[in-house]
Amino acid sequence: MKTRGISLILSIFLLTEGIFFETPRVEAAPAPKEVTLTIYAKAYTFAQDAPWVLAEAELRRRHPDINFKFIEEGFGTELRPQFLTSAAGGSPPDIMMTDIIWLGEFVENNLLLDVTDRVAKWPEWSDVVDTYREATKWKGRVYGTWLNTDVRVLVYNKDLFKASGLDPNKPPKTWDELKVMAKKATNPPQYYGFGFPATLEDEGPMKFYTNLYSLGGKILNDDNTKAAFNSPEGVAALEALIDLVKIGVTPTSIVSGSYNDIDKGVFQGKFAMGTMTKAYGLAKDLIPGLTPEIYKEKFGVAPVPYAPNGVPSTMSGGYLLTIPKASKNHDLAWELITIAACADIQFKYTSARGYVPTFKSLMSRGDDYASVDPYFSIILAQLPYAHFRPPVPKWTEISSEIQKALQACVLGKMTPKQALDLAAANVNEILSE
Amino acid sequence: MKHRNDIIRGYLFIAPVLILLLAFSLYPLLCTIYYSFFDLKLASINTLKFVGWKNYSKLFTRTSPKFFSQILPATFIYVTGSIVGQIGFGLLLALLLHQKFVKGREVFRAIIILPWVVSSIIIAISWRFMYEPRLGIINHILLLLGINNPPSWLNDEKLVMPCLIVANIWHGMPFSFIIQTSGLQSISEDVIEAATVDGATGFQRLRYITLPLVRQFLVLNLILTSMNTINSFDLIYAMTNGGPLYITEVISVYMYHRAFNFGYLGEGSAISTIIFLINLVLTIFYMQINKNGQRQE
Repeated sequence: MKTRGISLILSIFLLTEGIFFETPRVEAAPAPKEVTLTIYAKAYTFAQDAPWVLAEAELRRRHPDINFKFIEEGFGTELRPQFLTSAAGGSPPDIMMTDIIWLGEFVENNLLLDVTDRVAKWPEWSDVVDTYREATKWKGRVYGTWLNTDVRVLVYNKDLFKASGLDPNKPPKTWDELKVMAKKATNPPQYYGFGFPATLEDEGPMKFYTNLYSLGGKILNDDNTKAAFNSPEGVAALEALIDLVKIGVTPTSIVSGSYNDIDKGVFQGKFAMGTMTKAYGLAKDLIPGLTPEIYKEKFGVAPVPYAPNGVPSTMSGGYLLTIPKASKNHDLAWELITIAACADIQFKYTSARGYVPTFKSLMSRGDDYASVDPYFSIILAQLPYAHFRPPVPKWTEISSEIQKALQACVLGKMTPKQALDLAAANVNEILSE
Repeated sequence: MKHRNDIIRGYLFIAPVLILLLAFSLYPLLCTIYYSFFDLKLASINTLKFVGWKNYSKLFTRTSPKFFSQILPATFIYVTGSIVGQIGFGLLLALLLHQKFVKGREVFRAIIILPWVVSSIIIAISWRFMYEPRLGIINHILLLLGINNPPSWLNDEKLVMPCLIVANIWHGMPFSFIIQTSGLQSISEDVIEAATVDGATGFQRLRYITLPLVRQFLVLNLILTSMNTINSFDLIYAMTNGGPLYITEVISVYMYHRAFNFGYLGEGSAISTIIFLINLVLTIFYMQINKNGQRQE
């Protein structure tokens, strides 16, 4: 009995050994590759699913063999210095949300990857509006694709219009109408007729640029080597703005705080009118439970009033998604960008935040946008009149001089001509260095 | 032999701190001075080009803003106002809470120290809200008091600097208060009692006994507060960003703008070197005053 038992165990052992020896060895599945992708972007881009949550999920789905770790760094105004510092330290992010005005600076300093060949292979590239496709280029090469663009529109507070005896369905169309209506809608210190930022930020002189282009002027000359904003058109453009301060419809307090504070003023009943971008997104952030219907009832949106004998104009900007040259994950970063900046996700992102898309296919989805922003068609209609600030490498410094000229005029320290001439001299010095 | 061993042991004890100081203070300082002679940009940090004194000459000859007629006067006003206010109020409150008749001194001391532990950025944003012309509490109170046209604090070229100084005094005063309280507590009560018995009045006790005995603490306070105020930029950066115009662009904010906003690290290093020299000169000056005072006694 004992011998039989030992034989049985031995047989089972030999049998199983035989099976194991005969069966070819199965290779263990390779451990998933670890990839960390770091994204530097404005903090508000992480506030909703589009673009990052959706894009990251899609990238994970496409590469089940890769174990992704996404590091999302959200910044405010410090995005640019943070990027430059990280690039200087040799550890830039893999994806950088680049303001269109930083493009020249970043490219000239060899910080961004040329993606000309990559966009050529991207099926959605041909769907980007021509003007915006051109704007992604520096010296003929492409360095990124659009996350969104924006245009400035006139936003007004209908309650303040009504309280001032103005028709809430008839916003001003020209500078003269704006001046008259702003005067009527001023009741200091409770509220003022028109708010525009004169803060020490790039956004500060935006209204001045809008006026400048409306009169046919320019910020810099054609080859971006000299200041052109102190032309007679520039002086007239600034005078028109400063007149609003002089007649008391705009307070001098516009020189402090941030441009967002001034934009918010329209929704907070501090200003009857203002020009701004992402108006609906801003209103939603401020007013809990705001629906498109309530928004339409309380606030109005119209094209920016233009100069007498001038042309309609507005300022555009926006952000590109770019890849720093020193990133070690060029291919995956590009793939994530093409997902985050595709038409489908751009629609979700731009409609959630009140931005403007850059795809032709989205331009025809006005009805879809209107369901989230009732004034989207007005915003979209401004695109043909949009101008960009010149994305020259020293733009931040140039802009700083114009910001100070604007402040000097608002505070009554200089006349528009004096301030612009002084700023132009300083800008020419900067450009000649 | 024993003496030599003691010396070696002493050096061994201070070695960790010495190494840390060399690594985190002296080395960055020498690097800053070194880089101030190079054309070094944030965006192209690996490209170093020796330019000699060019960064300094640029700094002194730039017309916007002017270093000698805008940056330095703004710095002088801000630093002087802050030092006088912080040390003055700190000493005053320390003296007041040192009096025996004040009940609950420890509670008051804890309350006074509170602003010091709050981050400068939080303080800057809070004060910015308070100074806000339309929604700020200051103008709200002024309106309630019947002042119909209250000032636009941070936009008024005459008021903006005093507004910043007030905020900075509020933030920095507790530090002076702590140092002065330590100074006052180090004075033997016997000395004060002896003076009282000899018929000295309160003012005489303060003038001839208390102040001379806390002078070392005052000098220390003066040196630390001066350095702290000259070097700090966060409060101004968050409240006015150097504006309106260049009225509040003190040297530390100017350094930040040149180095990090515009990316000129070489120029930023030159400005930092000047800040270091100002600190050095002030410290030597204060210590000399202290030495002269001691000699006169």
